[in-house]
Amino acid sequence: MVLSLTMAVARDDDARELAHGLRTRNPELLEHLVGKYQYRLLRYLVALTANPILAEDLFQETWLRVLERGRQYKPEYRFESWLFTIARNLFLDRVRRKPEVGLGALGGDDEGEFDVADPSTPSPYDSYRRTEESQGLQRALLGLSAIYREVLVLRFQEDLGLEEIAAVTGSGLSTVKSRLYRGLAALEQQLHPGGRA
Amino acid sequence: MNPECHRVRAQYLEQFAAGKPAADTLDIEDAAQGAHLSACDACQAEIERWQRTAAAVRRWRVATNPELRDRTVLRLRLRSEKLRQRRQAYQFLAAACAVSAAVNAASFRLIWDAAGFLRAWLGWPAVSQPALLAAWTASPLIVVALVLWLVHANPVDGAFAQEDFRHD
Repeated sequence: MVLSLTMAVARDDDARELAHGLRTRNPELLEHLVGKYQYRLLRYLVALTANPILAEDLFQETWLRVLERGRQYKPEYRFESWLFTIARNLFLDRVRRKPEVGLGALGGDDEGEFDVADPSTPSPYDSYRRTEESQGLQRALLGLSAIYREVLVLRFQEDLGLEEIAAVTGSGLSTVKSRLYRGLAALEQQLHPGGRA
Repeated sequence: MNPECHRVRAQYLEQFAAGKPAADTLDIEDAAQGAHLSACDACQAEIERWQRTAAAVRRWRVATNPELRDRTVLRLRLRSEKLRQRRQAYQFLAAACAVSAAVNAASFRLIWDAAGFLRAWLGWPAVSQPALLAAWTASPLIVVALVLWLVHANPVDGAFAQEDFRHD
């Protein structure tokens, strides 16, 4: 109990320090944040756009926006939720300006343009099997509609709560749940076609 | 699927989506739900499929470009420098405005008299005296407006052009 209280106080202090650093545009803090969240942000953006080149572009735009609008961050919210919200809004802006990169292009046409990371390759067979599995998973995920892919990644990769996902996506809680259920069902169908009992 | 299966699965999925019980375990707290699940192979299979699918999402990895971080940091530094210069320009303008206002307040009487002298010397109508005073007072504002226009003519990549936190 005491430990959790201490941790909560420490978290509050960290969040306040973070808010102060963002407000003052502390360059060291920003560089640290880029390093800390680069993989998670990029993964979210790839999930959102299904296009790694666009995702990298939006990745940079997101951090520039964090620099400019740092004073809008409030310490009572999780930084990653705020970060993902900015990334999502930038993506929506892009879609509005260039509709060809939008929902119509999220079907996975660019899936061949980026590789799946495979950090450990103990044997050629394992490597082959894992690559096959990862590529199958990637194909399945990128085959989903972006709205399902987004909530699946936020829930199961980022471990955001349903309320946080609702805040990031600007949707109601019931919409998030519905997307999550349908996304799981659709992905399951893609991963194991005909596997349903 | 009978209504009980439907109810239990919906209940379980609700908990599963909310993160309890832990997504990869079959840790059922509700006794009735647990009893049904332990007896119903179809429900067990369905739940295992959800767990497998969620686990698959967790395994998804994307490749990162090692240069991306460096490029981003470089752009951040450049933008940060531009923003700093812009802030300095605004601070300078604010100081100039304050000095101008102070000079105007201090020289009000002198300018009023000078405007009166000029009006009499040139034979202008009476209204020209306050008009000359107003023009003199407003001249720093015109300079400030001109400088601001020049600053905005070279925006920081549209830094202030878009609204954040907009939802569809």
